[in-house]
Amino acid sequence: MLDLRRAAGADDELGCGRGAHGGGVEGAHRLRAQRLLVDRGDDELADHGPQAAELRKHGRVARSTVERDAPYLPIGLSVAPALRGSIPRRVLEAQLAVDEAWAIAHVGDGRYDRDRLVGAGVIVFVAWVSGTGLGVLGGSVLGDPAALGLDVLSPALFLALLVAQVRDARAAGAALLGASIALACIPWAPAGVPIVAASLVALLGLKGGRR
Amino acid sequence: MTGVWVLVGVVGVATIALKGAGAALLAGRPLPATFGRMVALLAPGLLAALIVVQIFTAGDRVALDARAVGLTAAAIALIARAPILLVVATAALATALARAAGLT
Repeated sequence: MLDLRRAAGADDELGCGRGAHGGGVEGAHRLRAQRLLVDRGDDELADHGPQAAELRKHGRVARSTVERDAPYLPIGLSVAPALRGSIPRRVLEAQLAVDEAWAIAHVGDGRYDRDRLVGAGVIVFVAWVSGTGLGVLGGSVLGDPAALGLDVLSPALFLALLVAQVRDARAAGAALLGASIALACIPWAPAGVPIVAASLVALLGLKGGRR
Repeated sequence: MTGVWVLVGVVGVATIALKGAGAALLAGRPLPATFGRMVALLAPGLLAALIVVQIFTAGDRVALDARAVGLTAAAIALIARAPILLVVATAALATALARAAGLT
């Protein structure tokens, strides 16, 4: 059983790392955002005036963000049966289903614990906001966050959560297949799509078997 | 500046809709056993995909770099039954050392 507070503590480090990315001089995320906002397609926009260029720029940012957030659709579907109350309340609680809280809330066999989801979600939210703030304020002191290896905090946390969830051959198979699908999609698919494609592993559940 | 805030609002609403769609559509309905079996496989599948994307992606290409060293260190720490905070700290330290040694 994972300790919620320890996992949230790990996530606080993660939020700080992300904040440092934003506040540091040359964080990978910042570079990516700059590339997205400034570099791409300047030539094609030149003929259409500044307003058209602005609109296209915003369109690209919106599309990229939605693609990155697309994995929240299957994540939201998976936690939906655990949520209670009115539809607005369920929709509100579903907003707490970020990656870490979603993984912590999984109690096995596709069942999610609503209290763990909300508890972990609130802790992760506070940790992310405060950690990001600390990272922005202290980014210049930290220097390049990549040199500190902060970018592996999140995947290391996911690995710990994954190990706790792989309890049988079916789960191990789903993990291997999900990883393979994501890896195969990376070279050609936009960000977010490899994760959504990996959710196809759920189709293995159509075959039947133990729950 | 206004355009930027409209953009923030639009992507915010889109994200809320993506997260909340399941909660709204499945509210209060009994779910078939098949759905439960499918959801059970989503967690390991998506977690593994998240790890792969965050470790082996550089821009739009597959990359093998210092992050893989960090993930390997995390795996070793997990095998040694280290607590979760030590696992993530070990991963960061291993990645930092690999980068200091010249690995990108």
